[in-house]
Amino acid sequence: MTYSFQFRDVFAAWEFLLEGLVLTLELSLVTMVVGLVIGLAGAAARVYGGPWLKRIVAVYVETIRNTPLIVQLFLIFFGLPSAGLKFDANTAALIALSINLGAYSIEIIRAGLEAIPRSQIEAGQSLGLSPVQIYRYVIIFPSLRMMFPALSSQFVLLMLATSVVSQISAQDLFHMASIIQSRTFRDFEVYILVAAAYLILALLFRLAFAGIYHFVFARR
Amino acid sequence: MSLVELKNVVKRYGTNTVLNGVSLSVEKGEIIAIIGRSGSGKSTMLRCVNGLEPIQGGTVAFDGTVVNDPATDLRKLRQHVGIVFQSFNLFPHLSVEKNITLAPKVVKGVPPAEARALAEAVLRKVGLAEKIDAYPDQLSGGQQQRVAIARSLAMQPQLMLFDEITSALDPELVGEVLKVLEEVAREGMTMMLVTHEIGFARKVANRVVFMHEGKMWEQGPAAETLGRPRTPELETFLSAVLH
Repeated sequence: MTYSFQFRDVFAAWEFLLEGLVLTLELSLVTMVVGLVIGLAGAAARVYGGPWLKRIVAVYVETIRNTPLIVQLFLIFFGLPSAGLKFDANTAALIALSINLGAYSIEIIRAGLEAIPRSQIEAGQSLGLSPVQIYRYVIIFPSLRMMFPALSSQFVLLMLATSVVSQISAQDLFHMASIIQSRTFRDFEVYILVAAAYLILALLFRLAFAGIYHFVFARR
Repeated sequence: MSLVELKNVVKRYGTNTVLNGVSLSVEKGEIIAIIGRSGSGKSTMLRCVNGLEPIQGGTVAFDGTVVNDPATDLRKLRQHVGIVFQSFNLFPHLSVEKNITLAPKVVKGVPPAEARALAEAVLRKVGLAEKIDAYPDQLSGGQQQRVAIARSLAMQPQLMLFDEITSALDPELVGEVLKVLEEVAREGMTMMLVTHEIGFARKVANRVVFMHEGKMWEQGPAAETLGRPRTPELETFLSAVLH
């Protein structure tokens, strides 16, 4: 088997790749923030909420975790317009990814919350703290510290999964790769390059998470 | 009016009755030692006073407020009732200073600079001024418990509850915690303490309450009750713990 790699044409289209990379990065970062917020609120509802709230959150979590992301994405982008809710591709992508990451985050953070001993909550109560104050000052930090490795893994997975948004024509890294491929017909080169880009991105995210852990969670 | 008033308090866990009609009143400035076997209900009774344990019968009142009334604002009440636990329950992710200043800051709205001064003051009282920036896992058990006492003192409570606060400590660390307790007692704090330290109870408490089988079995002035028990149950208990 002989194949002579020719990256020239592919490299010539670097601006496309860069543009795609930026959207992938933006989608990932915004989704992580929204997903974390959903995770913190949802996990609190799941662990400390009333029976109905618990049930609603459980249904959300299980529905999302047991259906493919691409189906969720298509439901929002192609399905909802029939009900009068129309989003552009990037917004639909953001919504679908956030809902998806939110469900996984709830499950992860919930495990962290449940690992906090009851005595910590009692100590907060005994000092006159309100439930919200106890959650914010006593519970969240140790829970997140405990669950940080699992949570950051999930976030990296999410970044990689953003590649499905190309299916609704959001112009992310993977979508741009397809465009370059159709112009240059250098399939192998394009996808090697894109794989490398995702790999580097993933490693950078892991590095960033390690940094966050070091500076925020591992004091001293 | 007594500061604390328990009337016929009944507490059950399922079918297991832990408190079976306990009545007790505590006057302002009194120091009450609560003794008894494990399982006799002494810790549970203490935890009823600040509403940590819901009760199934009777009433618990603090300073005229009925603790077990669903309409009572427990958060407000707990600002006036401090509790120190057997296992310290410091917040592991917060420094000693933040452990102490958290509640004053977020519950009472004390400004940060003032809160720091408050932390310094209560830490001096428990002899740990130099540990203000340490984290709980850098302290010995005795030091952690003294910080827990300081944290409780920082809310300037009218009543302090101590739930077997030396039981989880190595024997050589018990003394330093009891010394701090004596200091707090000397300042006139109203205290209810569940303890196994009979010698300490005799020395510091005004009154001793002996709990047995979920009942307030016997009570009276410390020296008298411990010296001449009126019931065989207390006599048996004392001879078991003193020998």
